[in-house]
Parts: sequence; structure tokens; C-alpha cells
Amino acid sequence: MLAKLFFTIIFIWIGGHSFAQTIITGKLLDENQKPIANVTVSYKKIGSAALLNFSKSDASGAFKLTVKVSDVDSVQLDFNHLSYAKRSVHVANATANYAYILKSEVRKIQEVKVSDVPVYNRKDTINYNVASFTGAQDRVIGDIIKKLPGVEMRNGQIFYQGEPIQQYRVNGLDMMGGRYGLINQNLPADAVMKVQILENHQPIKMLDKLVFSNRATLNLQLKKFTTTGTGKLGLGAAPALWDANITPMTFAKTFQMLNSFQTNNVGDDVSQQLKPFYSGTGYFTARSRFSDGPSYLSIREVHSGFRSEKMVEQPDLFNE
Amino acid sequence: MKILFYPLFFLLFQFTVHAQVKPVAFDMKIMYKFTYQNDSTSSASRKSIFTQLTIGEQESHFQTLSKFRADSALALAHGSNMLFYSYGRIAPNNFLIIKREDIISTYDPMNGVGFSGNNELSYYEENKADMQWEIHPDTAHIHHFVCQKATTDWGGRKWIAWFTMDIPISDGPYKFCGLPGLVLSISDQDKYFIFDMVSISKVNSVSATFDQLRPDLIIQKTTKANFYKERQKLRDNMIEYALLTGAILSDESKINIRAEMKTDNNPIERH
Repeated sequence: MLAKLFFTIIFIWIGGHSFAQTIITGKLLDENQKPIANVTVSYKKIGSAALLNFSKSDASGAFKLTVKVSDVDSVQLDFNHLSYAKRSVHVANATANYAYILKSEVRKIQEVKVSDVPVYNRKDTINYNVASFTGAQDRVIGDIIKKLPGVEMRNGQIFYQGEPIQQYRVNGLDMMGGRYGLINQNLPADAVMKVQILENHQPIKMLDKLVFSNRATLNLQLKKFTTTGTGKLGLGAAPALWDANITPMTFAKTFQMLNSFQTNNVGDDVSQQLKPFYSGTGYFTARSRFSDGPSYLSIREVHSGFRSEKMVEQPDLFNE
Repeated sequence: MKILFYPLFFLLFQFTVHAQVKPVAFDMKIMYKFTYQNDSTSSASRKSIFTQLTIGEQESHFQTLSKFRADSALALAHGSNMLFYSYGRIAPNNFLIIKREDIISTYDPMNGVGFSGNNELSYYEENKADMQWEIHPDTAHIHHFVCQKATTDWGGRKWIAWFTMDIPISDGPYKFCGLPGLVLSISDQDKYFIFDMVSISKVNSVSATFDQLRPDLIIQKTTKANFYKERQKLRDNMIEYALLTGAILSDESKINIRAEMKTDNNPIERH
């Protein structure tokens, strides 16, 4: 009695197993009876979107597909190849061998335009549309620049693909000569139309095409030649805290000027904005093209401890 | 004499094929935004760059847009003989991945420096079949394309990919391939590395050959395991290498280099 039961169980198990898996084989030919290789053969339940398994035809056009569904009588086979028309057939869910002919047809791929990307490039220049990167909390251009793909900011210094940028220009003019923190922290974001990264830029025109540069220059294209700037006034309670910043700037076609009057006693180190960033920061390659930059008229008072600072400066730059 | 000639010819032929002399014609370009985090301890280290997959009849090339641009500029300048060898941070994104038939070939400079300042290139091969995909019934729309989910356990990470049968090309960003349709989006489980399709366009372009970029290029064949091991060694001993090449380092920059090397602790493939 016991032995009989045992045999029955084994029989059921084998039977169920051989049902669950069918193998569909076949051959794919073109209209001239030539075999087609690399056709994707996939199957799915009729009427569903998701395919369940796939394989590929080999050099002789043969394919072998294991079908692992048992709850349907027939399945849909899809044949996909870029150079042939798509073909779908319904076949019985049973082990069998088929042959199909695919019509040659160059498949049209739906293109996706780059307009969704707020970045475009022309030659060696990458343009970032400022408007698409601007969020509600972004006030000055520095807030935008640090969000751009490929760009990062460490302690106010700007890096492009891990390398410090070699120039920071506004409308093509390098006014601040390395002390670009002042523009970066004070130029309102909405005055800027786009930020451009000039890759492999050789700032010295005479050396262009002679000395290859792998560093980038950043340029801000303003919406118009304009006088702009930021003003900020903060006052605190006793004994008396203040934080004031008035930075008017003018960008004309050949004349640029930036004035900055900042004073605070809240511990904000304003001199950070005056730090020159162009000096060689590559580890071992001395790339020092470091100059003091434009002339500065400055008054600074620095007290230790709780800081109080005043700075007045007036760099300007004429482009003959 | 004739007998000698034939083997010689054969040898020469093999070498030139290896150095990729024939330019490859591409008819399709897919751009992906690549977001990566090379420091697993700091989410602030997340960066994103654009990468491109160019597909031709026989093979596809995958590289970062900045590498492609730097190479193109170099090719136009007919090669630069300027040579600097800086042991700075290893730029992990100077790779070129070529998928051809059943093989994935990776060309990647050990020290990460691009062609403009480096004439040594490591090269290793992998089999496409190493990447085993599991197909899931989940579907989603990316742009206008119906995509389906697939997962793979590969390179020490679990990857979740979305491919579309609307583009029956068995390819994708980075080394990913082998699905019945193009991979439009893929990320690892921890979201350290994300590739997202941003554009698909028809092109009519030709690749620059290594010869155009660097006639003096030395290609060193290695294995993937060895490549990652050597790169780790270089990363650990950056200062010693630099001193060997005659660099003079202040104590401050030594500290900086060590700190920076530590932040590079999360390569896309774990070995």
C-alpha cells in the first residue's frame, strides 16, 4: 500500500514538470531565403505589454526559446531587428519548430530632441541656460553655478571636471583677474542669460593652437549690458550687530566696473570674496599665472575674535 | 625569402587591427546623463556629466562627452606633442568602452589622464555573456517609449535597468548590453550611479582613431582584476609616485592629496 502511494507521487511530479516548460525552436529567413542572425526573439502573453523571455538567432538564423508559462494555450512571438520589419505571430504553447520570413525594412527610430536638456554645445563651448537651473531660493549667480553638471564649488573656488577654471569672464572680459568671488557672490542670477564653459580654452590668443590647454574658462553672458548689483542690510539687537553689503556693478560693451562696500560684525569673513583663485592649484604642475589682478583701493579693518570688517574697493577694467 | 615575408606581414596586420586604425562610422547617438558619487561617505560628492553612446553597424562606443570633445580637439590639432604627467586625482571618466560581437573592450588610462597628456592606455576585454539579466513584468514610460524592467547582479552591484523594445538595439550606457532593446535608464541599488537617457539622434559621424589622437600611443593589455588592483595601488601611493617623478611637495599638499585620495572610494565596479 505504501509503495503504491510513493509511485503515484513521483508520477505526478514528473508530469507537472514537463508541462511547465516548452521549447520553441525555429529559423528566420529573409525574402531571398538567406538566414538572418541577431534577431531578437521574445515571447509574451497575448495582449500584455511585458515580454517574459528572449533569445537571439544565431548565424544560421536558428533560434531556441524556452517558454515557461503554463496557464495559457498560446503565446505571442515577436521578432525584432533594426533592418527588418517587426513581425509578431501567435503560436500554440507547445514544443514545436517553425520557420518565418522577415521583410527587410529600415526601422525608423523615434528621435528624442535635446531641447529637454538645459545644456547645449557649440564647438568647444557648453552653454547652460540659467533660467532652467534657477530655483526659488537662488539669488546670486554662484547659487546657479554650483548646481551645473560637471561644475563644483569648493570654498568659493570653481572647478570644472575636477580642474580649477582658469578664467572667470563676464561678457568675455576677465575683469576681476582671479578674484571672481566678488562677482559670484553678488551678481544677481536673473541678470545672467547663460553660463558658458569654454573647454580646452587657451586664454592667451597667441598661444592658441600652439599650446594645448585642458582647462576651462567660465563666461557669463548677461541678458543685456547693464548696471546691476546687490544690496543687503541686516541689523541685529544689542550690543549692535550689522551686516551690510552694497555692490553695484556696470557691464558695458567695453567698460566694466564693480564697486563693493561691505561691512559686518557678525563673523562673516568678507575677505573670502577677495581671495584670488587663479594661482596654481594643480598638485604638482605649477601652473602659476598668478598676478595681483586689477588695482584695488581698499580699507580693511580686522579685529581678532568677533570680526568687524570694512572694505572698499574699486577695480575697473577698460578694454581698448 | 618569401616564407619570411608572410609571417611578418601577418604580425603587422594584427598589430594595426589592435590599434584600431579603421575609423568607425556611426549612425546613431544616444546621450545619457551620468550621475555618480565617488565618495560613498558624502552625498555632497555627487556629480553629473554627460556621456554618449554612438552606435555603428558593427560596434558601439561609449565615453564621456568631455573626453570625446578633448579627443576631437586633439585630433583636429593633429596630435599634440606636449607631455605632462601629473599625478593628481585619478579622473575615473577617461574610459572608452567598445562593444563588438560578444566582447566588451575597455580602454582606460591607469592614471586617469586623457590623451592630451598621456600616451599609455590600458586595455582589457570582458565577455558580454558575463552579464546575466533577469526580466521583470514591470513596465514604465520614459519619454514616449514603453520600457520594461530588468535586473542584473554585475560588477559587485545590483543594477536595475529599463529597456525599450521600441529600439531593438541590444546596447546601453557604460558596459550594459545584452537585453532585447536599448537601455534608457539604469541605476545601481544604492543609487550611487545613475544613467538616464537625455537624447536620441541620428548622426553621420566617424570615430577618431587612436593613431589620429596619439601616434605614439602604447596600449597595454591587461585583465579587469589587474587593472583595478593597479589603479588602487596607484591611488594608495600617489605621493610616492609623485616624489619619484621629481615633484616637490609641501606638507600641506601631501595632506591634501591623501585626503582627496580617500574621497575616491566608490568605483562603479567593485572588485
